[in-house]
Amino acid sequence: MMKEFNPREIEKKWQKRWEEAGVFKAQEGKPNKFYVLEMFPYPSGRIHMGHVRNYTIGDAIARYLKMRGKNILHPMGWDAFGLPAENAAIKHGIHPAKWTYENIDYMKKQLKILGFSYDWDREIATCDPEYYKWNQWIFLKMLERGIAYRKTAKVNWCPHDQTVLANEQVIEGKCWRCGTPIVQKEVPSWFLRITAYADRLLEDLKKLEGKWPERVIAQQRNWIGRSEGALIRFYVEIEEPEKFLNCVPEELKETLLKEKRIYIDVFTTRPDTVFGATFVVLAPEHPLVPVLACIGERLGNACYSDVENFVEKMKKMSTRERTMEEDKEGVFLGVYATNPANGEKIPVWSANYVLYEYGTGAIMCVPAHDQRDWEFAKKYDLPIKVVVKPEGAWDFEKGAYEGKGTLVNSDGFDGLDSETAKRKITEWLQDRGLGEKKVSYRLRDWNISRQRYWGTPIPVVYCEKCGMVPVPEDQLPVKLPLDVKFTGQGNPLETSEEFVNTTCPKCGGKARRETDTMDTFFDSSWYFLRFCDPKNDREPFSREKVDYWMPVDVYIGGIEHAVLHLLYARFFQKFLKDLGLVRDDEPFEKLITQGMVLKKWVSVKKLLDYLGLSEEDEVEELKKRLEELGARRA
Amino acid sequence: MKIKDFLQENKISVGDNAIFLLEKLGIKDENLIKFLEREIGESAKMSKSKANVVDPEEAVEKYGADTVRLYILFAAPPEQDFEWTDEGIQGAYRFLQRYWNFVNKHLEKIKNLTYTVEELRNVQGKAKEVRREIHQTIADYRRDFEERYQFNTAIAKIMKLLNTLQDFSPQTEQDYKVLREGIETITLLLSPITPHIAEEVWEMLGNEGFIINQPIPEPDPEALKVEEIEIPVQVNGKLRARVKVPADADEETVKNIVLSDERVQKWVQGKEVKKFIYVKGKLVNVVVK
Repeated sequence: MMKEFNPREIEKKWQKRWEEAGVFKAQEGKPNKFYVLEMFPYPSGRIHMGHVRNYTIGDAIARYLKMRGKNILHPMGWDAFGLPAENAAIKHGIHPAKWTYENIDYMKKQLKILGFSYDWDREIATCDPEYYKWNQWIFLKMLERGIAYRKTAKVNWCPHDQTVLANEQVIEGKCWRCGTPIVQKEVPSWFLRITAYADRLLEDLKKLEGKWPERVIAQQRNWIGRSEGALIRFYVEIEEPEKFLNCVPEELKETLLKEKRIYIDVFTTRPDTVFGATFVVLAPEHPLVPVLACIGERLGNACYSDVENFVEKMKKMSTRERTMEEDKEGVFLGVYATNPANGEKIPVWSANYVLYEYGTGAIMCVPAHDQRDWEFAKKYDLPIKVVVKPEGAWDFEKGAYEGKGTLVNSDGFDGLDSETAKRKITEWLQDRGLGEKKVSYRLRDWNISRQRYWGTPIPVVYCEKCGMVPVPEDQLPVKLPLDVKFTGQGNPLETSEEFVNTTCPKCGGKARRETDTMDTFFDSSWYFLRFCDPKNDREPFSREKVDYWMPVDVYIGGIEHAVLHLLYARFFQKFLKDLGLVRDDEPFEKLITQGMVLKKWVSVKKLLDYLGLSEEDEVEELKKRLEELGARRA
Repeated sequence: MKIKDFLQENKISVGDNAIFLLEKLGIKDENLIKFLEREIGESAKMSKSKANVVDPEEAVEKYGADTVRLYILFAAPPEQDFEWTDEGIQGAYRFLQRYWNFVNKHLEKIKNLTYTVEELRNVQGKAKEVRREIHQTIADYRRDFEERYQFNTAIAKIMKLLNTLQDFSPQTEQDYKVLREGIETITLLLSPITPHIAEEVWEMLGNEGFIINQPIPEPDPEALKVEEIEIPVQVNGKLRARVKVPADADEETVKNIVLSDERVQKWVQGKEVKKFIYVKGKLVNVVVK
């Protein structure tokens, strides 16, 4: 009698045997280590086919290499903090902790029936105090070294989720999670100074070439966005400053009276074209816009209400919307600045195509050699002055010449090539205190403050006497309280008196706890290190174990993490290296970004089109045709 | 009632999956749905909103984890998107079933067989060819796994090897030893992909311990060697050269080798090859004008 193929029976049998024999327990010490890691999941409730594909790829690699004699580390865990748990609490009244741990239990069972070769003894959940304690510890180290800091800043605010979002979490001007258009809001927030690592993050991408998908490297390079150029100062001279004292903020008043001028700093990658700058443009959010418009007598003046209207309109739009807007739009602020190269008085404008987040939020405009400036100049009839002569012929009536060439109309610099001129003009301006060489990045510091409950509490308190005081290491973890109210409005942590009211670790007086929690991307920025030593209760991980297992030899996950998680993790690795906690510069040796699992589907619209019906037709007709079609297919 | 009102009444939008509409109309025709998907369906990432999700747990319940894993790895290289189809998952299931039945069919004969590499190196004829394919499969599989993570091509080679073993009708004990080597090889190579069935077959074959603790086989360089034979080459009826060709080469391969041979070139250069006859393993006759 031939034995029937009964997969479920076989699968249960061997899953049990593997577990009993501890076949997949990872142990340090042997030569030929190999660390296979799949991006750990958010415990949303059930695993989906995308997870299965990700983990199957990892499992095939792990099992194959085990059979090739490698000493394998193949762990699994849960990226367990985050908004859905809190939404479930608001909607269904179930506590985020309960919701999360139940999901973990269920999904773990699902992973087990797929027979993945995980060392479940190393399982971690980032919402366990044993894990997030070390988030707090790392945060304190960052605070000590000035990598974490607090400032009031314009932030991306999701009105629906009522929280701040990182730049990376704003997709096409919308919240990456709920799709609500984001707005700009001033909120005191905690930042991580990832920009201090910009050069290393960029430089070390070279080490990943050939091992990471080119697309991911390109996206990171672009996100960091390094550009070399110059900072150039344009002065707005003010004849009778005492007349305009009401226009300027307190801190500017004294300088204004003494110097009779206000300066605008611009960043440019083309200092060689400074002689061709015929106007200056400030981003609508630039703090000097209202100041200069006031001095230019354009504020509170019915004839020029367009300045106020324009700024208000722009502030309501997201960065993304503004950059997508083809049509250039701006207003003259009523003042003139001095071109530091040739002394010409040029008008100062504010326009939609200049973004406050980039460079200094102000630009010098060279319409002859920048297409966007050219379009703006054409629209508002501003002068176009050629200062770079192209090799061949060029019709400046048709557009800007953005390439390199020989300088003309540039006083002592005529005849130089663009590259030499860049250097010489920057030096010349620098000698006169009107400019300096500058490297600019697109990368911004990472705002990690979230006004939510289900995350790692940021371990600082605010004392009436001592100000902001970090929680001492021996008092970690600062645990999330359980007695909070989930109303869907504001930060639930603020409703826990027991949590909020505390004593100052320094003076023992009354203090309030910080109620912001950390962006969950903080949790996932170092979890791969914790897997090397998941039960350590004295330190985040031992150097010895991390030195043995790291780097992750193959890391597998979705392309959507190209600039989020994968950049943050590289940043953490470098910070931890500076602390002496890890050896390697880069955490992930080889990266595989797996494709998606698709499936065919037919929309109601497609079906109606196919049957030649419209919504105005009768249901009976639709039913008849479907039945006919079915009968013909049978 | 107008379709518009019917949709509204049932809270279905025109952007929703038509399955919901069919359901409300009381049409439960799986084949019709499949036909429509094939004819006018759009491929999209699985998502709740499009109701085009395949639940992994249900798939495992129906086909088993090994089938799901095999299908996922076979459908496309890791970086590429792939479209989940019923035919695809069923194909993976059928392959595992075929492999299972094939092992069981020969189990009695091969269960207690033992062999050494040295003795298998001496087999001849069909068994020798089968052996070459076994070891070629090992070599290709390892390259696919190690250099490129191309599981789909590695799996395709395993499938091809199973076909070869099924076409092989073992007679002698030597033949059965080669068959056992082939089945063991497939089982070891399947282990990272479909680990459960691999463990089960490994045990059925009479082996001790877990297959996951076994090494991936090494290709036997001896088995990979291509046997060459010397063929007399006639040009217009006259013997002009003796040329070495692989024993199992087809006419196209032999033609390429023979016509580019220096000694043959001398007689055919600048002339039109009218006819090329290859009597397998025996003789080549070239007619030129």
